[in-house]
Amino acid sequence: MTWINAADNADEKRKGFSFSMLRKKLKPAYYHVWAIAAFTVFVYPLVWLTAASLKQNWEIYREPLSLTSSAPTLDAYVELFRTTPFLLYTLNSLLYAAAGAMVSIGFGIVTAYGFSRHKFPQRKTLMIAILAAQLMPGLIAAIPTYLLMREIGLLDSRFGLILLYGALSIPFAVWVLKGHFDTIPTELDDSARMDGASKLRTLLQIHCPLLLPGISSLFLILFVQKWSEFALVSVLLRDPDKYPLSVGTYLLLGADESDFRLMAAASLVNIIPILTLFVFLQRYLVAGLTKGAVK
Amino acid sequence: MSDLKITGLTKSFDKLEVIPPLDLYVPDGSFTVLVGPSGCGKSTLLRMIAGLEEPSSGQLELNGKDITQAEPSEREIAMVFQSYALYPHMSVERNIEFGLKLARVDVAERKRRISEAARMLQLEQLLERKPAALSGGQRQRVAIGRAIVRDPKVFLFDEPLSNLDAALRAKMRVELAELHARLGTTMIYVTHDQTEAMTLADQIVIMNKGKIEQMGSPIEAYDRPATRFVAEFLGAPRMNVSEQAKAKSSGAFALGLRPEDISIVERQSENTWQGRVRFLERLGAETIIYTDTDGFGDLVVRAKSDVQISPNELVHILPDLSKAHRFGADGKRIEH
Repeated sequence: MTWINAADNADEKRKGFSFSMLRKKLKPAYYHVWAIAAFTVFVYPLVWLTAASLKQNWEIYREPLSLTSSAPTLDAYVELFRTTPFLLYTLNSLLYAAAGAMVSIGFGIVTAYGFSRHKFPQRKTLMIAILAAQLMPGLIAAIPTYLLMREIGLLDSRFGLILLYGALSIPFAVWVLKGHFDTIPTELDDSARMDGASKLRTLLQIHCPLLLPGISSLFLILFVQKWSEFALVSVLLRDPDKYPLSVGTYLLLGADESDFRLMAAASLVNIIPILTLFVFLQRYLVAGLTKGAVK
Repeated sequence: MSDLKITGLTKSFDKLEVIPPLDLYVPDGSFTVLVGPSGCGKSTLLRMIAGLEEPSSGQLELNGKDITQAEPSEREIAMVFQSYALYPHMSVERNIEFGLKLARVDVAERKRRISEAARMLQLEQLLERKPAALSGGQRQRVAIGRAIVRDPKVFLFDEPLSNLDAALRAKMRVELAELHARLGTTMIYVTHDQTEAMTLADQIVIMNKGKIEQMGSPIEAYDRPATRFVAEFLGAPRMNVSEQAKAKSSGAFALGLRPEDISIVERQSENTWQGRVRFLERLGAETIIYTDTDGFGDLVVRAKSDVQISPNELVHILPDLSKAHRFGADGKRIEH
């Protein structure tokens, strides 16, 4: 009896053993399959763009899906920057996205500080009101915004566009940053006060360094948002010298025939600054996105 | 001289009065402990002394100088917080230095004070580290270091040991007592732990619902509690207080007996009470016996560790009534 039981157990153990071994062995394979599938879906268009930008135009028409070229060349890039003001567009985009994001963050920090650190009547109602303001799509307000900007003389102005970009994202910035502020213990404020720090100094020297992960991820989100904004900027700006990349790329679309090679190069120029930013800020990004969420 | 005089201090939040008018004198060089259950207003009082909370009315005087309206940093008072409140992004050295920098102390003097404090608190090896890389005890010492370098007239401690484990707490308690002996500076310490209060204080202030129930030396408060609240708050296990027949026959509303003033005896006499053992706690050095006693109710007895007794046993209890405490219906002590 004992012997049979022992044998059964051993058999079971052997079966379990082989199963778990199999699962363990297969697991990395599953991961690889998924990773490759995801990589293909997300990265293939990017690779295609890169390949297309290095091809000749007729090659793209002849073999649209191919990723190789008989004679790769950087001609498209040279032509892009030589025949169109793409460098100017890029600089404009950088200016609008970075400055707009900074305006939102600047106002966002101060407002979030107030909401997090001070008690005042209707504080919660106001926070909800701010959220409600964010829920409205910016485009709905395009016409009133246009009229308003014209009234205050900020139509077709870089400064005006930056202000508008900044203002539109303040509510979002306030919500994100308040979450981060709430995770900083108020005892630190007390401690800084005992040390003789003013509120402004506490904000700049104690809070801001601790908010850095939150600020970085917020900056990245806002930057990407402003960088790819098209609708408002195309309504508000008239002077081609002030166009950002989004409008500049659109202008490349010819009326009857489009130069895909040039379009591909332009699209890549659109992506590169954002990718670079990601590389620099990714260290903070995950921490920043998750930290503010949980109190 | 750095004595602190508090006169008629009150604090209300909206319409809720947290601290009714309160007077307190903290003598120069004393170690004054504010103790009481949570929500009794002790931390609020400490924050008002620090200047972090504005009093609704009343006056604070340090060395005869009115500091009621002074900014926290101008009061020559330093505070150690419950969570230590170290700046997480700064090294230990920069944490200690921050206040000195803001006070515009010159670099050489800053370095001197930091190294002196680091030596005193054994922080020399840790100056470059960030707070996250320190243990609880080390963080506590940094927080104390940050207070020391400012050379304050008064130190405030807000439950500084409550985040530490029991062993470390006992160790830090001794360190704090030694620090006080060495510096001789006035210290005001808030805790809800009566052991800390009894061991550290030379003046104990027992608070309840914003009011001071009693102040004086810890032993005095223990031996002659002014109110029933103090009697029950100080001591572990706490004092037995009963409103039953035995209290009435002693001419009081409530009768209090400390567990150590009661013994279990073998023979019945006219002075013994009868009780039934409900439960035993054998602590090694002593045994705590929980009994249910006729005419008194629940009665806890502190006995020797080798006491031969078991649950449900009927025992004879001999209280030392000369050490009994009597309280009136208003909770105040009735003198014999």
